[in-house]
Amino acid sequence: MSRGAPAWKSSDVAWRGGRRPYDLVREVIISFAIVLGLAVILAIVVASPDPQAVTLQQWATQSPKDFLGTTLREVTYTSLSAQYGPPYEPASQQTGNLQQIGFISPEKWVGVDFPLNTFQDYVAKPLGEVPGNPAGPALQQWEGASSSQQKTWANAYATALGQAPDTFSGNRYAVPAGGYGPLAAIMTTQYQLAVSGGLDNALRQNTDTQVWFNDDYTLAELYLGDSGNGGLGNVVKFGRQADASCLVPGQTAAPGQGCWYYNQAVTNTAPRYAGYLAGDTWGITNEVGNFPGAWWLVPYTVWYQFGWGANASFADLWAMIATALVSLPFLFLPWIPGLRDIPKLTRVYRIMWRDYYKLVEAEKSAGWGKHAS
Amino acid sequence: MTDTTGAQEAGELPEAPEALVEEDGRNLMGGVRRYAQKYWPYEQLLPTDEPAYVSRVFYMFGSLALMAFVLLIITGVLLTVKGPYWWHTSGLGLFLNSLHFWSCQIFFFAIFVHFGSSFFTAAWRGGRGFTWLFGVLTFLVAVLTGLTGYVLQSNYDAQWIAQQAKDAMNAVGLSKVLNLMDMDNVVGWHVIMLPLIVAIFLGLHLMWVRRHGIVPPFPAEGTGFEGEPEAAGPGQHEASSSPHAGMEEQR
Repeated sequence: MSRGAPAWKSSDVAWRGGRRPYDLVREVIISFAIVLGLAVILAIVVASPDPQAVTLQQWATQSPKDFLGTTLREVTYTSLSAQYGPPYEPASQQTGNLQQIGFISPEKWVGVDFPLNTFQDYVAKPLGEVPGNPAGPALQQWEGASSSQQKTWANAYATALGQAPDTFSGNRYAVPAGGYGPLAAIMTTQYQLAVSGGLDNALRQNTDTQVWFNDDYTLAELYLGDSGNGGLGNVVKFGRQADASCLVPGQTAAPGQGCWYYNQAVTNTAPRYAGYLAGDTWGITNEVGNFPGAWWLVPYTVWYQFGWGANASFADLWAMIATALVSLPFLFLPWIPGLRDIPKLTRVYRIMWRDYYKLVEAEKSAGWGKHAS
Repeated sequence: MTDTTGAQEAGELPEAPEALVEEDGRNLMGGVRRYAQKYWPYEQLLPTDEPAYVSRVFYMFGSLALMAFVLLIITGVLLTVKGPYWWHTSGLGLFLNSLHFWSCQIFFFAIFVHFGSSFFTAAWRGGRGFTWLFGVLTFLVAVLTGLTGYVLQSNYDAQWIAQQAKDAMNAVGLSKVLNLMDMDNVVGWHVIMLPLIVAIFLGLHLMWVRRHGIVPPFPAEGTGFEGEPEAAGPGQHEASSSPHAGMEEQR
């Protein structure tokens, strides 16, 4: 100890109510053995969930009408991600609701930091990589057409798609012919690229063709998320009407049914057994099957279960702010009179330290002096 | 060039001129040393005994959480070195992945029990406010680490969580800082930055635990903050839930 420095004693070192031997090294060894033993047993007996990720190839194969209907919305900039707003498009292009409470809107402040053009990024660029570029002339025709002409073709295609079978036998493109111009070649080629698996790879490479290394799945996941207009969770938040075929937990998806991606998280069937991953059923706190999920996120996901989190267009912003607001008193609890007095008032500590309080009573009865060091 | 003294001939090093030596280490490093020596003397940093009240099993959950964190680091390093193809396709890889998964579950379970016991014993008394604060910060950063870990599973669950949770990140303007759909981005956070921040807060939490020791019980009637018999019983200050309770005895 340096000269003049006062001797420091923590209250447990200064404790005068009796001591017991303690081996910190032994506690560390025993604790690690308990944790390791428990984790090894659970890893061997229960293992962990590992359902394979879904692909655009599976989507196009299993629910071609949903895939093509969503792709049509990407081409015409009417999909969820095409109209999401910041950080993908300027707020001026947004048709849904901006996440804003009063003047607070961080997404507006940050602006566009991942520029997205759904027609170019999901359709034109991937199709441009197909050998021989079979959709090239059709893409040029589409881009060169007036918006009213594009709208006419899109409506004609939507009508034809409505008459198509729910599943395409042998993955053969089966949308009835119609007066939808270049969309015939664009949609056919996009479908064929998807069922071949090429679209999954093309979307990963698409953000910047100069970068060969890429593990960015943003484009593919946004595209998948547009299936069925985003599912039931986005009806309030983005002001969008979900597909009628979007399910609720307990229902089973029929072959070729729409809202394919969302329904994967709701149906409880092989190979994913997802069941309850949608936001209105505590979402990401769950795990597939019967495995425990990220239950420690409950202090955050609880805000989606009622009030603004369940009914407001700014649900995500509210949930994050509410979580932060609750975290602050939790963080500074020792300095907040009232909150810090709860343990003293509940007297649960009397049970937790019952051995000590019994000892004190015994010492008092015996006239002190026995346990004091 | 130098004088050869009798001491050097005997193999001893010469003493440095006194002017070059700061008295008692009166420089920045000396300040750090004095601070450390004051608040973390060896007998408190590495104790061989403890107060008798530290006798219930709930005291173990702090060290269980710490050991689960150690196991998370060990299994996490192995998973990172071998990569996702390995943990999805080989038996050993799946086992390591499961070990990491369950270590995480044990970590959070132990933390919750530890929080509960710390709360109901008002463990911030006796100058332990910062021990609580560092503990809560550890938990908050650990939650974000857990979220990014679920995304890094690179399976269906990861895909769904990333695609869903991006809305919250976008809403608070973190779309570029933490894009949950970009694995290159998530790896950096989950494998390096967030565990490092958890380790820093956890380290501070442990240092403050050793600095102040385990909180004594609320004084029983007839005893003081440090368990000493008092004829008049505990005063209002000693029995309070304030982080300053009992502090005057520790000077």
